[in-house]
Amino acid sequence: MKIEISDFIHVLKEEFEIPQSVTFSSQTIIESVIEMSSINALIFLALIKTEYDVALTAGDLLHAKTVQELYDIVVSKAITE
Amino acid sequence: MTLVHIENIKIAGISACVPDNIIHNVDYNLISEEERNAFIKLTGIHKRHVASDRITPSDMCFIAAETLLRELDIPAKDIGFLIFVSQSRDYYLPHTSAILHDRLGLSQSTPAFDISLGCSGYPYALSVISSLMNHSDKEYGLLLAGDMPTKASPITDKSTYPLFGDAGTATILKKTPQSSPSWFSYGNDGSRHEAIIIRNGCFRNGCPPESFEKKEISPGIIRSKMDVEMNGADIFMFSITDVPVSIKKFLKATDLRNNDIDYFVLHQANKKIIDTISKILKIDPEIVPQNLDRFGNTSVASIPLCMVTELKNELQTKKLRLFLSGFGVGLSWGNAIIETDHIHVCDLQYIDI
Repeated sequence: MKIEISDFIHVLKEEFEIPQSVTFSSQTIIESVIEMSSINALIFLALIKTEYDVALTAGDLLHAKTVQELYDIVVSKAITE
Repeated sequence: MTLVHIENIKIAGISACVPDNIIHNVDYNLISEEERNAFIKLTGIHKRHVASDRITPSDMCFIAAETLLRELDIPAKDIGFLIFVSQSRDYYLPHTSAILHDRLGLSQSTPAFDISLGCSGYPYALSVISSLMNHSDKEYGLLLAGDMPTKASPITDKSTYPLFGDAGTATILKKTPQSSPSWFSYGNDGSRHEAIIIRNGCFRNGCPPESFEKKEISPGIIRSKMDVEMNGADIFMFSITDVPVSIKKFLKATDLRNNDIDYFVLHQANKKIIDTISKILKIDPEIVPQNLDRFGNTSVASIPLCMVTELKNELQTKKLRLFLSGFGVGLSWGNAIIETDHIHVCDLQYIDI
């Protein structure tokens, strides 16, 4: 499955109800918009699993600072899984 | 995948009992309002029935069993097998089923034993008692599934305290050649046994005095080694990754599709897990009952409790094919496909704490 970065951003914006007025692009630092609490981490894991069939780890979420970095991890795992 | 096929056994009736004490998560003041609301939204758990130190799961199972035997008009002496499945026993020894055997007045020729399993336990124990009955001359078997996870989930640990509730259940099985076959599948990944663990209090580490010392693990998580320790992210990923795979494989092995199943009764782990499994497997949420909002995660009791609280009328008035899936501590999972036909379901019972 080919994952487009624009779709990826859209999926995150929908799930976390990020308002249109907030800049949320590939270069956005995730933590600056979405608090990475333990609960939001679980929401991330479930979202990526259901949308892309990719099993992220809590470590993946810690390593990815920007949306692009998270996207890259998801794409790399989507290829190997 | 281990696949087991058992004939001639059906469920005759089912009942459940919970403590009459209710704890509301909205009152959990050790976390912020924002965090509390996020937790409730994610887990779906608004309130839970919580026991006091005076009662145990066997007390709740006893009430459930006594009620069910009376309403089905089955004499205790006719019970051929008794199994108690739980991780909250009355005593270190003897086995808790021995105590229940006495309280219920079962025959001395009726074997009674415990199975130590948590959230996956109901399908496992259902298959064990069904198999024993199928290879015996006994007409009835009594399966008691109950747990008290709140006992090891202190208020100072936000990762476990608001999640759990207590419950005890009873299921009576009957041997009958007319019944449809039941199917079971199981799995276990012991390499992940530390994902949910109580470290002290048993033979490996004993129970030295420091076992009870409370330590801050991280902000909002203060617990001792006698309390349950849970790696939430690992359990969550297990539940939404390994469990749907096991369900899909089991359906394929039994040549069934989603629409051949009337209800998928999943372990009531939390709302997000159940919703995610349903979404991954493309199961209509309407046929995946949930009672988390009122009872929380009741461990091994959650599947039969959900059948009592959410499917009572359907179970009593229709013939149904159910898919049961239990998963959790171990890490362990067990699935069952059973058919029920107008079974007796008692009203939910309450125990005075």
